[in-house]
Amino acid sequence: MNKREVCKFISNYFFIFACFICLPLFIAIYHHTFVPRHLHPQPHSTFAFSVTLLFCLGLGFIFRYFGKGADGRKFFRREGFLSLSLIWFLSGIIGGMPFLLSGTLTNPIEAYFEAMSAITTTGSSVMYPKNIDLNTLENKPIHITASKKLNIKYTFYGNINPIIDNESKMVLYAGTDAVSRAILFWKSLLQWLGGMGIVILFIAILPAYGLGGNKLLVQAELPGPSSKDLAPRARDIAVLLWKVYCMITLTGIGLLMLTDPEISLWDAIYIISAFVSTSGFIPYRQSLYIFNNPAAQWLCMLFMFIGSVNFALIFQVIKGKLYRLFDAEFLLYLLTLLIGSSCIILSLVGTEEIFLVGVAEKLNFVKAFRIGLFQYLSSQSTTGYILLDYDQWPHFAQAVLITSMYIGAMSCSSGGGIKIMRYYILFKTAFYRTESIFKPEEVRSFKISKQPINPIIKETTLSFFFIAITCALVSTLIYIADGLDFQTAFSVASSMINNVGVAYGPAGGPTQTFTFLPNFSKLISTFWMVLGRLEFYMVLILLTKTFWREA
Amino acid sequence: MHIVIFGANRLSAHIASILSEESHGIYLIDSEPSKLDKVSSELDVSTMLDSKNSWEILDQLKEVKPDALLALTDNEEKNLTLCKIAKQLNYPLTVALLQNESYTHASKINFNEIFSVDHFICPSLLTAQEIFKYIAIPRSSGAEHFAHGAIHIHKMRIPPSWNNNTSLDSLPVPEGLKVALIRRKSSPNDSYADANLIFPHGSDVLLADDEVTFIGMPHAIDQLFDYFKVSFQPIQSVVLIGGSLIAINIARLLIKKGLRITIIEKDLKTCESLASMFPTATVLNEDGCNMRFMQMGQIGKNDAIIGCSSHDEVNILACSIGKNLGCKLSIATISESGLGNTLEQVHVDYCASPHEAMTNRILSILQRQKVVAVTSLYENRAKILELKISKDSPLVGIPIVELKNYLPKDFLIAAIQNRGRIIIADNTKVLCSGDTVIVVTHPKHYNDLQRLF
Repeated sequence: MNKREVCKFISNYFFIFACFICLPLFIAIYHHTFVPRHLHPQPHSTFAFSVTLLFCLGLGFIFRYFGKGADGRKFFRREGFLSLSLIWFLSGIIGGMPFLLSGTLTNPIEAYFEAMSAITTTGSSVMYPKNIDLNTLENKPIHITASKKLNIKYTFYGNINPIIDNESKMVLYAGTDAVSRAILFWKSLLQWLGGMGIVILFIAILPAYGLGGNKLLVQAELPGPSSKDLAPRARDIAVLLWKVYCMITLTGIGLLMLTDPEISLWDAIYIISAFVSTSGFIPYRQSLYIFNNPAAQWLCMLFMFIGSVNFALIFQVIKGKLYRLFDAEFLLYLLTLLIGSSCIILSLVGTEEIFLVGVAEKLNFVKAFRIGLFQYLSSQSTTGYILLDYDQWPHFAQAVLITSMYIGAMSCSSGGGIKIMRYYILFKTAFYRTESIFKPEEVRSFKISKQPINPIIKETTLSFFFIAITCALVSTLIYIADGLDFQTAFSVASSMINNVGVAYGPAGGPTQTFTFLPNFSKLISTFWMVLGRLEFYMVLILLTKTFWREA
Repeated sequence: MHIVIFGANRLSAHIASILSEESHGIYLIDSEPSKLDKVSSELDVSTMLDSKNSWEILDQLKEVKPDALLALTDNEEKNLTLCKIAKQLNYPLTVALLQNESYTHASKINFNEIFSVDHFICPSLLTAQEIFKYIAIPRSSGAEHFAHGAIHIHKMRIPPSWNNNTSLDSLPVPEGLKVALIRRKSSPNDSYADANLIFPHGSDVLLADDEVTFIGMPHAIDQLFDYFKVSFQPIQSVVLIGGSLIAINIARLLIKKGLRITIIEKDLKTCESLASMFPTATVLNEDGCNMRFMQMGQIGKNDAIIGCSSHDEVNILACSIGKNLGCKLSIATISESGLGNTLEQVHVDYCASPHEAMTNRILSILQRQKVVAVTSLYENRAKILELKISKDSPLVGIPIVELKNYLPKDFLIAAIQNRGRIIIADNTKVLCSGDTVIVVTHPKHYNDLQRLF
């Protein structure tokens, strides 16, 4: 292990990350100095971002010092893997600092969780309004019933201070609305960056580093078994991917502002970045906007879909090669969407829709179609944005939703999950294996999209599936041991490992928060998120003994 | 540049790795998936599986607008066919690898035209030429030629008796000479393997035991030996171990030059054909690693020993034995690149690598417009380039002394060729467009330089 090389690599990364911290810092300074207090009554975060920036730069210089003399010539596989994992975990720490320093969240674990869920595009949030007694200003506990039948209740405390008007003693803003705009932007930025992969961005920006290590890192962050070759060199691939990603995002923002001229640029940025990155965290006010605006819902669906499609495919289509759409994985993806969403739509028609205000109304087909498709897409693309309270939906629809999380998006997209391509390989393997029991002498070539598949890829896919399922079970067990009920635990585990960001119980439905998780569960959740985002192997390598053996 | 390479053998992988490091997009194609897997796990290149119809792949790749096709498979016929097809598909540049040099210097028939190959590459011939340059050009061991032979490059070790602490600026070296590169041990007892490379500037000094690369006019290079008081005797007799294609090519070149040749080869049949090919040479049917035979045959009386069989280990061992028996110079052909430093410790003076020779040749073919010739030194830790200065280069019209702000530190302009006139660069000289300059640089600046010049 060449520690110098790792340090140098990470220090370079921190310098680039520091540039990104400057964006919310400018926003914070702008709101601090130019915006009148009554228009932005939320607490300022200039201090928080300045300190984070300095900390990030400081870390950069420290790592640079320890990485003195490294020239990238000894940056091999092992160094690459270690740097990658370190970067993800350290980014979470730096990303969480503004939440903590600005006083938005007081628990460091919650701040870390918040940043991690953004970078890994899980998009779940632990920000929850405090239940404040307006007379005594005491922070009262919140009670949520997870299952009325089993009588499971969760009690926890909110963590976001509401903004109270001093004169009228009225709550002006609560929850994410009471959070500084720069902080919300930071969370949005993190999830957008995480969507395409932070290290891929880093490779795109920095000139070639290491010998062949680049390719490895790009492949590590690109989900899925095969990344269709966009360009021969890793750096060119990284640049192309980011160009496509930026273009899609800008188009989305433009379209949203075109369809509704009244929407502000901020709202458009928050909304589109959440959907394109398939992360799904949107502040409360913008959520309400989507809820009330069917046109915006369709647009969100479109970009959620684009975000979950193979970016190489999108690139080819942009270049005018529409015939590339006849791609096995893409067609399969459409098929799963069709089957899954029709299951949900059909089971939804005629059920009662329960509004937040408590009024019930029977769903007609048109509405069920829109809502069902949205929620299914949100779940399979691992966006995990909740349009409305599906906790009250028929059990079948709920089961379909949780299954779709494990299917996941296409490979080489910003979505999570196990990926369509892997299922395709798994299915073919299983099918051939079954047939060969009856006809062992038959020799077949194993091809996917006319490309022969290497037995190693088959093996990797099989073990990937095993690891994913094992992790889901183990994490469910851990959550249950930490005091969650089975349904909540399993759904939280699925949500974290597949980077979805919604679950049942208190995490789903109208509350939509992970604040109720005990501290230990929050911490372990961040680990599952990174594990899922980097597709297990990259992190698990670090847990093997041979990785650390010097000789 | 997008470059399509056919054949995923060690040679093409080496070339691909160097080209990819220089920011070219490489598409490596082979018919064996296992070879491709190995390459793609190690190199930053795109790999594709060769189907039955290679032309379909060539056609498919048209969509990335490839700039060149390198047909480097082990199959000669396939290489030629590929080039022919590629030219039909309008590939701008085609290069074919040949094991045998027969097509490269036939004067009657234009093979380039017939096979639509722009450049033939024959590793055995290139390696032989490299070795020939190293041993046979009078008074200039380790020489390279630039500017059509008007500039020579010479590597020599400063004798231990040297004791002169004058800085290079005021050191009275012979007229028309420049110090291009210094390889210095960090302490006297170290080997050269982990020595530092210094791109010398005016304030540096030469120390005893440094290995110094000089660039200069041939007559100035000749004076070097007197200047540093080194004695020099030209090489007159050479023993070749192994009767490979490389050996045949070297023998041909050396015999033409009038040197005495002994060839030692294990296989009797090969010996017979060698004997009929070279009637003036002594051909011995023995194992080149047989110590007793080597002592008896007084192999050590020869000036140089060249290990050029197809087995690296035989070459190394033979060189080591020959050097111990008293040969002044030992040269081994090694297929693996990057071993030069290690092999110095077992008395191999010079490693000629077919891989390196071919890589340099291909690089200079690919960069015809600006880069006229390329040589890499010390396992690609330094490069000597012959560059043309374009009309719109920002460097035109500025004296060299003021160019420091534009140019990286590990970079040196050694010589300028202005309308056929060769000038050794010093601080007062000015670059003009259309000039050719010979520069010494770290390979990492390679792409910046192409932009600057």
